[in-house]
Amino acid sequence: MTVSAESVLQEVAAPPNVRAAGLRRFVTTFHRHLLGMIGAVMLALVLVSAVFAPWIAPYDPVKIDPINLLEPPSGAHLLGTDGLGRDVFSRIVYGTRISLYSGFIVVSISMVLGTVIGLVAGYVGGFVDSLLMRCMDALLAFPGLILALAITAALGPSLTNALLAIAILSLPGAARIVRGETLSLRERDFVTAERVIGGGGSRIIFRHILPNTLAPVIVIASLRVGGAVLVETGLSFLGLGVQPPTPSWGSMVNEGARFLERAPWIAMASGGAIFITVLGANFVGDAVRDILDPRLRGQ
Amino acid sequence: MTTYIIRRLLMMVPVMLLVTMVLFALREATPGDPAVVAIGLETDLNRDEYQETLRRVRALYDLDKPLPLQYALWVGRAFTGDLGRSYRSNQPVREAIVERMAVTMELGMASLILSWIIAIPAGVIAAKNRNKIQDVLANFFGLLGLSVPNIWLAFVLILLFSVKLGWFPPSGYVPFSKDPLDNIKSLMLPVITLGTSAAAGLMRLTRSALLEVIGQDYMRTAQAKGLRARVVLWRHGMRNAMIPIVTLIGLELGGLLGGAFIMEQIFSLPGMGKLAVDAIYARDYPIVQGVLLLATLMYLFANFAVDLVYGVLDPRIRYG
Repeated sequence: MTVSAESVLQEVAAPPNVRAAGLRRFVTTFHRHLLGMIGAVMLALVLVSAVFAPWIAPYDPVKIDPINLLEPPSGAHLLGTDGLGRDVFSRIVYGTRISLYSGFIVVSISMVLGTVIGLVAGYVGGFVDSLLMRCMDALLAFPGLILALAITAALGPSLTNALLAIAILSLPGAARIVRGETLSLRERDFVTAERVIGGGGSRIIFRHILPNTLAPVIVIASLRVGGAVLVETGLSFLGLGVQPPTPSWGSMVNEGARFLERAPWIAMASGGAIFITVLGANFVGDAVRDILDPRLRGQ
Repeated sequence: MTTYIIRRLLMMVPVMLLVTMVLFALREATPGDPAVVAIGLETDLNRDEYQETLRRVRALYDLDKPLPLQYALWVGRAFTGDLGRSYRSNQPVREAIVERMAVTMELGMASLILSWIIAIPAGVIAAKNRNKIQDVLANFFGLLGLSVPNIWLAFVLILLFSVKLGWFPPSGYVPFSKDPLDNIKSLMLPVITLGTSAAAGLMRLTRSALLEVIGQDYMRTAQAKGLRARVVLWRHGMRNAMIPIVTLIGLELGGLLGGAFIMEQIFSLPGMGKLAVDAIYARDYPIVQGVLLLATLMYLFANFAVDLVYGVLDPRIRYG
């Protein structure tokens, strides 16, 4: 009995070398996904500009130059200058940091917490399950941007506060999917087998259930990045996110709006940067979904 | 059915209470003394008069009472439709919101309808012609629509249609009762911005929901019975695909409301969103509270309506 239970475990719980093979297969499939690769290149560019901003940006992003106000794009200023004479290109390069930070904070917090809630609800069941899932339902009742507005209204305009609010409101997505998967995994043979050979709750959860719920979580996470970046730009646009003079794409669009007729390049270039980043994230998200979870296709 | 409606409405009570608690707690977390905000900075009162005014203002806004009582008073009054008064103008909050609600509702509804007009036919055409050119194009524009930031699209439209072509005004609002044509013109650009971006997600979902249905046995049966393709598609296909679509419409209303708030800022439309954002800057918390409470309530009722529509779409769903 013990022997067969262990062989079941060996087979299903995917020991490290099998997982590495899975990763390799994922990478090869991803390579063949044209839009996914285009998206990955776009995101890589954004990531490189965020990390190497001081080397890529030709000017100091907050340095005011009263002589060269609203200069059109030229050799000296690739994307022109803004109303304070600051170099638009350098500001966009530095702005990648805020956008990536927003995407990362929102997605990682909501996915990690959501997964934990889903695991606990699905594995423990009973009263804990209903309590946690009713809380998740209540969160779905809040319209996201509006709660973020309320929080920034109270705690003062701060990007971190607003991002936390949005992350918490995005918990239910991951929590519901992980709970559903856990409910079905809990009853599977390899979990029973682990119990038979004396494995405890935490071993079952972390070694057998968690790894098997990762694929759908990665899929939702990759689909959420673009939305999170958009929310940050919306808040910054309203002046409730990052505060000046820190360059953020949303606030740059807002500044550019004032010079829309005289200097359209400010709003257009910063909006274009948002567009490219979000489009890249959505390409990658779609590709990851196509590869990992065909059931979610089209969502 | 009646039991279900009552139970579903009762389920909204704890959620609304939670919302009121969050909004109240946030007001308490706001730094600074609301009474000072209400009096304003410019006063020529001497010290004693100022203290006296502070005391009177605190009493006027119930700020001198213990917190739990303040909360109970606020919720109790909100229940009867009294949302308090603005710290700045002393105008009743309800009056301020009612004045501006029509703009937000008109903007939101028009955008919602535009998104249906675009998304549902496009999704159906894409699903019917799976992997053909129509499908590829629909997917391409869908992904584009999901990725274009609203704020950017709005300014591209302003540059093109207001600055270059001069067809629509770049900002401002004309009430429908004053001049219907100018009213439509003043809302055209924000509605296009919001409607097209809401359409993208809806189109993708329509396509995938319909694709799931197309493979089902009853679709083949309907075809085999010799029904016309149109009847098979709409009466047998779409009707079954509608459940996820309607769900998404309910959830998207929250995004649409948030988007409307931003559009009102860009196009200077005197709606609820502009009211709320201006109030945030002015630290006029009763207005912020009122608008957010109402926005959440609208969202909850919209999703309640969605639950009721399920039963119309699928008679197998029983409310019990």
